Amino acid sequence: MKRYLLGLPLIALGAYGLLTSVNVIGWAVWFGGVVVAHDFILVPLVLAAGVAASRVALPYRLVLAATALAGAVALPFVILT
Amino acid sequence: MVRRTSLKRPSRRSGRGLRTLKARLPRLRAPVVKLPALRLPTLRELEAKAPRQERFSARLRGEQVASWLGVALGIAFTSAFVTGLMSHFMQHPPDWMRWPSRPVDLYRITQGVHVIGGIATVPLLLAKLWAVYPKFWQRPAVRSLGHAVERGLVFVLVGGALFQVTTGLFNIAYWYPFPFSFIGAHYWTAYVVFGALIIHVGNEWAKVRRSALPAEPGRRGFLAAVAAATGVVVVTTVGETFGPLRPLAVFAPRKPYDGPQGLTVNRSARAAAVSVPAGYRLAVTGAVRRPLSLSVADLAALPQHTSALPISCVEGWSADAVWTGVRLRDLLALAGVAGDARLRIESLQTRGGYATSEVAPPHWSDPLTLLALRLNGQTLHIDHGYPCRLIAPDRPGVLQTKWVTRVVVL
Repeated sequence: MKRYLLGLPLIALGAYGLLTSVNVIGWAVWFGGVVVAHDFILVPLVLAAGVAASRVALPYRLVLAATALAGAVALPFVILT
Repeated sequence: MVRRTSLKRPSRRSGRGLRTLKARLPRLRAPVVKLPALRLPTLRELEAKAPRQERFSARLRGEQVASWLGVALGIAFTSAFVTGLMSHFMQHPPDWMRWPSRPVDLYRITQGVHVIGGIATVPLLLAKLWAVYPKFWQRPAVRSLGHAVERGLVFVLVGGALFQVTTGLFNIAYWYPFPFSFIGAHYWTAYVVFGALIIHVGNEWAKVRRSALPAEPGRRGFLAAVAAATGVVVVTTVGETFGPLRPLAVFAPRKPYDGPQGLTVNRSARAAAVSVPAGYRLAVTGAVRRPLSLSVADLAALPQHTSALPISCVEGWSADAVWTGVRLRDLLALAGVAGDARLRIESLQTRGGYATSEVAPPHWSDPLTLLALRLNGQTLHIDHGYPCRLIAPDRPGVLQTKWVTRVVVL
């Protein structure tokens, strides 16, 4: 229970701040939106890519995975800045 | 499927006359329309079609992979939370809080850890969510009230973690497509995420303890791939604050030494709508014994000192520079100021949240703190704050106020 005694007040503090000083509707749309985008768009794409890459031998598949992960981070900077 | 509609029988509440009239009308029948599968599927049908946890077959997933990634993420989010709070409270200190002015590079390091560490979190987070994704489709979706609470808090944690890294990355890329202020949303969401993280770590600790063994070969390879991706994004961005790796910073959003006088500019004079009036004077006013009003020539006639101090941006980049100008504490001694006074530095800039900044005693009494007139040996460029700007050690770049026109002693 200790974890709930520590964790829930922090969540409540954050929620209080969001409700009082942030456009909370817009916030909620983005909060849910990133989950939907991840769980229903990004992961299915990754799973499909995984199936497509299943013919590649494992070590090379891991290189592909690492490249894709690093690319996912770097891409926004290359495009936006 | 067939839908029939017919005129309603008159209700009892309607008047007798109306009822008899309606009863005598011939019964109308709407034409029979076939509606092809326009019906929304029921929850049960959806559930039957949805993927099942058991059907995810990748052997690289599993408790061990999730545990190791979880440990790494726990460290990453704790570090981001702590360094983020430091950055917040350096910029918005409560009255009782005093930040030291040394070490000179403290903020540079904590904010570098916050931003570069945050970038490094992205591959870890994506890999972790991939590893546990089948659990998203577990059946029954909810087993008990306790299970529902646990899953709800996992949603808060996942949503919050994705929210923080997404908004953080957008912020350092200077892209603001969201309808809320980045600072408030990122700051308050941090508490939500960290609270949910504490609970999640508590709930999963037993699993971590039993599975934190050296991973078997295939999974070891997967973890190595994630570690490599994390390493690549760190090595290709950290050069924006860590000089020795500057040549490798190909993905860094900012090149800290590109700009006038060899230093990048976040907000130019034009962007801040600043122009320096011909009769510019620097005023030192407020709780002083002798108010001062100094022209640029007056400032240049005062004893000049040189400090090598970095600009350390909240967005993670930093750059070394050599500044020359008047020590702030010399100027305040000239005006006659109490040792525990706080200052408000005001800019010619009128718009924006950073037109003024406060300076507490540890920073204004530091001999390195200057109202700088020169940068890297040249008269300050207008985009760097000509005629003079504040530069102090261990201080976020947004508080190194440019185009200073008034020093108000509070």
